[in-house]
Amino acid sequence: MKMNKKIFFILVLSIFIISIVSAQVSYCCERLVDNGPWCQNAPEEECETGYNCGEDINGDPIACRSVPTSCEATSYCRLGTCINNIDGICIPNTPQAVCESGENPGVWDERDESEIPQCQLGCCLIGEQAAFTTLTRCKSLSSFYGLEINYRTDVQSEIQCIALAGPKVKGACVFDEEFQTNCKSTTKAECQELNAGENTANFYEGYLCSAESLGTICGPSEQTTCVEGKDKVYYLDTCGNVANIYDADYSPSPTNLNRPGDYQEFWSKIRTSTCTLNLNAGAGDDGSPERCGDCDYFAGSTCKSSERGNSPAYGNYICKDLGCEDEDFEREYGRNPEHGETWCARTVGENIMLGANPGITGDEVDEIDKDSNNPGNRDFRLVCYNNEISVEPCADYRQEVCIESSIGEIPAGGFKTAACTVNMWQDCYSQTNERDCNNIDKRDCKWIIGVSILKDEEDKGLVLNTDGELVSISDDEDFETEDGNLVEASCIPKYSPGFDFWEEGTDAGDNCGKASTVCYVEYSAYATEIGGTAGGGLWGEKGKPLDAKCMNNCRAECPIDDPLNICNRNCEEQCPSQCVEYDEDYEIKDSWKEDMNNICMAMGDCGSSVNYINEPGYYDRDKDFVSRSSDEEEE
Amino acid sequence: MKRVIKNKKEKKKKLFFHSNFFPKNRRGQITIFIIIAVVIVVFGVLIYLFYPQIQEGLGLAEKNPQAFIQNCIEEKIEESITKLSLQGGSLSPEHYIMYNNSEIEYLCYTNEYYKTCVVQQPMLKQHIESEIRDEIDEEVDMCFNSMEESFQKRGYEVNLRRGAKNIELLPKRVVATFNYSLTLTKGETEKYNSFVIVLNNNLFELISIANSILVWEAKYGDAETTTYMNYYHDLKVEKKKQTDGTTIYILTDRNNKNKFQFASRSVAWPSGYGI
Repeated sequence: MKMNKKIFFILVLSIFIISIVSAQVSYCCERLVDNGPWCQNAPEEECETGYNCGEDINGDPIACRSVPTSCEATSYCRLGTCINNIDGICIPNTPQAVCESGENPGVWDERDESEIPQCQLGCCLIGEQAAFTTLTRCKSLSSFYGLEINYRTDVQSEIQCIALAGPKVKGACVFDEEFQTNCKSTTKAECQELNAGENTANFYEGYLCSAESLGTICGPSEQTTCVEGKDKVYYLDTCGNVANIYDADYSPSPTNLNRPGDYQEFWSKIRTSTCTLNLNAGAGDDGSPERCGDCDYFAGSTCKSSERGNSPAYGNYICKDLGCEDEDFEREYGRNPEHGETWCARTVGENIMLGANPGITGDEVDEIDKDSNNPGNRDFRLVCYNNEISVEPCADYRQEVCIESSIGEIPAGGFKTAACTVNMWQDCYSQTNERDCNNIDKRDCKWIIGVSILKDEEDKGLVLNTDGELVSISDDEDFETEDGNLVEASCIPKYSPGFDFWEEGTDAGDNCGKASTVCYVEYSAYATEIGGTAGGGLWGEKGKPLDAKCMNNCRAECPIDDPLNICNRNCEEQCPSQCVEYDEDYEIKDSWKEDMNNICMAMGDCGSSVNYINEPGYYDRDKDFVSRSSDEEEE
Repeated sequence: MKRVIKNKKEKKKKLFFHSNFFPKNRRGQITIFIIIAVVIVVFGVLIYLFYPQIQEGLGLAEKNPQAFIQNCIEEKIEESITKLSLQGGSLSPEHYIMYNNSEIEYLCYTNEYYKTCVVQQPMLKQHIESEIRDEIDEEVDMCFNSMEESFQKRGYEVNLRRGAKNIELLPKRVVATFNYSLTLTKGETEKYNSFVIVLNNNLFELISIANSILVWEAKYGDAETTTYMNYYHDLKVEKKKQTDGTTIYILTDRNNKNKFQFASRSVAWPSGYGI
């Protein structure tokens, strides 16, 4: 009979376990219902089962497949590389079914793209451009532009490849046209194309058409232009050929009376810039945008047509400052953001210090930006490019945080950069020593002294031993002490994460619960009709002592229901470390309450707090603490 | 005599302005002006609606078949390009996220947390080309019918042989090629073997960038916007992360405001531990 009971029990247990396991089985759905995405692991009921997965070669619809396994284990949803043989593009993480479907199927390969010969990258040089791409792509691009390619497999990085891109050697192509000696600034190859029949064209490498020695009809002009694909402002000659980079000193204008000694050479040979642009220089000063056309996109300027009130000394084009305007940035750093700068959006508010109570002390990072960690708050990265600021939200629920740094001193020459980085808070709570807690390569946590989130089997906070490791108070260890007291400590998230606590079935409650601390406070109380007797004394309703008086350094608040028989224990035995802190009147200190709440808030969207728009939540912290003493009660 | 004539003119002028046509009272004048305005508007609407027929009736219809087709279909192609560019390359997205009233197709997606996405549209360029081709299919036939009719009305003998329609995205342009053969005979014979429409558009470049971002999303779950803006000086790349872990990328050519936007959900983070 006993045996039968056992078998019955095992059977019931097996069915229970199987039912749980089967409920959790994930299917590989070729497609999810409602025209959903392809190849996803999901519960069976979310898989599409109809004929909605493409067409076969006869044009008949294909039924979608689903099997109770991971997609990686299926033939149709295995991930691999999809090779687009037309464009020469290799796309990773593509399921076979997706790659090989549709009107223009790709070629699917289970290997990683780095192992596929067609996907190997090289440097594709076409004309004056360069692209680090596949050979097929290079050929495809060359056919679009009608240019010959130079594909170099020896170049193995994109930076090297782009550095190889550059203009071919240019010069002056002199030819006769309608009884005149004309000239075109071009490459040698293009010049040779003008050599046809009776026409002869001579190429003078490195020369400008305006060179007097060439005797052409072209001469210096004060007109300027922007050139497609280049940042700088260029002079034009009288034939419309692009000459050297604009420098007002070399203008042929009759008003330019102080021409440099090498003026003739400037208009004769192709030169690098003769001036250095300084966007902050005053109008008319050397190097100012009005006088110098040496714009540089990476330094924050590019060639643009001039506007009223922003005109160059000569011509109609000017180096335009690509910086942005932002009041908050200016207030903080004393200048406006520059082109290419990125920084984090800040919310205005006071910082609160974790450890305002002397009992809890932290290092210099023990500072929580109250406003940036409130429910609903989120980090943003701001990006300044081409006179425009774009806002990039980091991941919600503070699963990403925006961090920023600067290269050099701000504002003098410094440059701010920011990024949304993953908030690695998940395993903070389980760290038991300061070294592991503060390992920034593995996690974003901080170590605080004074309270322990980790508890032992008896629900007592862990304390530090002399090796700096958190251990149970009941362990046979040498404990760290401070002013004669044992030291509790915790590892908490540096940037508290957000929780969707308003949704059902989330883990917000569990996460917040990790910071719950039960502190027992012993009271002397008169007997009441709802109270009971324990430990030889009379006790009131939990949290509402009728005539309560806290005992110094003791944390025993006896509930009516006292399963642990706490009330019978000696106060000192029950309260070995500081849990609740009292003032002289045995009132729980406000600073202690604040710190406890701050610990809660550091765990995530927990505790009593305002939200990101400063609206208070429904949770009232003060209701959780007994704040009245017996004296007050009597009063 | 002269005086008389002048008086007559003045009289005529007076008669005109004092006639019932322009009533003396203010309200009446306003009514007249309103009527005139309505007539002008109606006239304008009629011209707009029946412009091709009016053109034809007045003998102003396009005499060059190539230009006729270009005028007829250009707007539809532009419209399709604009629409699908805002919807991740699909005219009727199947799996999408709503953003600023646009249904933006996911080009890469995972329904799980912490995992990189699965590419949903690996042949993006070809997909877009076929989307445009399918969208303009009927319109192209209508345009060719209309052209046939137009030339027939003008006394031409028209022989139109329909062929393949092809859309190609190329650098800085979109090329629509209709391999239709047209023979027009009116005394002499003119023959056209194909019709090519070229539209200036940077969709090719934007798709190339989108493909590159897609590779980053599929491999690492994220892409850095400033890298692209450093390489391509006229490109604006915006990244908008949504609460559910979706990232919307908006690519804009700063010169002509051509735009391409698409969605991806890769390495999404849950709230809490997500269990």
